[in-house]
Amino acid sequence: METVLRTAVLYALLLALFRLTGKRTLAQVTTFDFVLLLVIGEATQNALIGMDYSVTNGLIVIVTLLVLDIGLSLVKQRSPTVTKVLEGVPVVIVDDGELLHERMDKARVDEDDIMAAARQMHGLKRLQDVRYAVLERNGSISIVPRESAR
Amino acid sequence: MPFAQVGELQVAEDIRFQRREWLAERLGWVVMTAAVFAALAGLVGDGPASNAVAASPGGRLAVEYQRFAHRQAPTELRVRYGEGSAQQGRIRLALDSQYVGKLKIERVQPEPEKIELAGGRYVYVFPAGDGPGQVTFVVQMEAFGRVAGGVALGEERVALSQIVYP
Repeated sequence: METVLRTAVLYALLLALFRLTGKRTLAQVTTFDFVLLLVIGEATQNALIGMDYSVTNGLIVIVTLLVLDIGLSLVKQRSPTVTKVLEGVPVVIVDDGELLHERMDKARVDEDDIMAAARQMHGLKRLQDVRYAVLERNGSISIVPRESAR
Repeated sequence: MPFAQVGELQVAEDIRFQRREWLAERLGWVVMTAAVFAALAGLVGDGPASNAVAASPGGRLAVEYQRFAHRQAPTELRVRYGEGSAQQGRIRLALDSQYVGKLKIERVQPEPEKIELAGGRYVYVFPAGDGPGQVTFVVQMEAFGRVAGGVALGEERVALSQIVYP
């Protein structure tokens, strides 16, 4: 019983903490982010497993996590509000060529990030070639180039 | 999810929600920072705010303990007794059995000569001279929440109150 409760509590806490940390944090995994994730994983592991290192306990943790995940995905499918709360919403940061600086600041995204996405996805050379840029739910930036840039 | 129209772009934007999220994010950062400082201060584990000393009214018995402890993690009770506490060459420290039931005693230093059950208490008996001394109990909390207990030496009793985090 305790394992299931532990797992559920940690799942909820981690979800809340990562949501509050913000989108930018996990989308682009730099070397340091990778280390951070590893360490968080280690810290979580002990709290999940406790002092019971049996195979059964490990399986209970895994199955509980999967069931929680399935359950949430079912709820998300039915409720747009829950989806927004759990996954956030996309936000337009370049609107018809115009940089929306206030939103970019709040979302901790700068011109460099937009240009990086523009180069990677469309091979664009200049910021002027970007017509729309959207910071997506998963923290990546998607770009719609100007027609003239093609 | 309904789409919003931004220029020619169909996108499920909800800027009102996004602004609330940004606000919640910032509040979250404040809370997280506060949690780190609380941990540094010892409000959620060891640290300055956690160190506590309880002394008996007679002043012969004092217990150093952690006000905030963690479940299933070791924590210490340092019991100090004053001069002339020994009777017939023995120090007899009594721990409430209801307190002992909420923890596991990992180690007692020095080793007790024997442990007796008397009047709902665990009595640890140590051979000792007349001088002051110290006995350390290394314990591991098994319950969580508020855990109250007591240590007694003869008529003198010290009450402890600990918060154990899960």
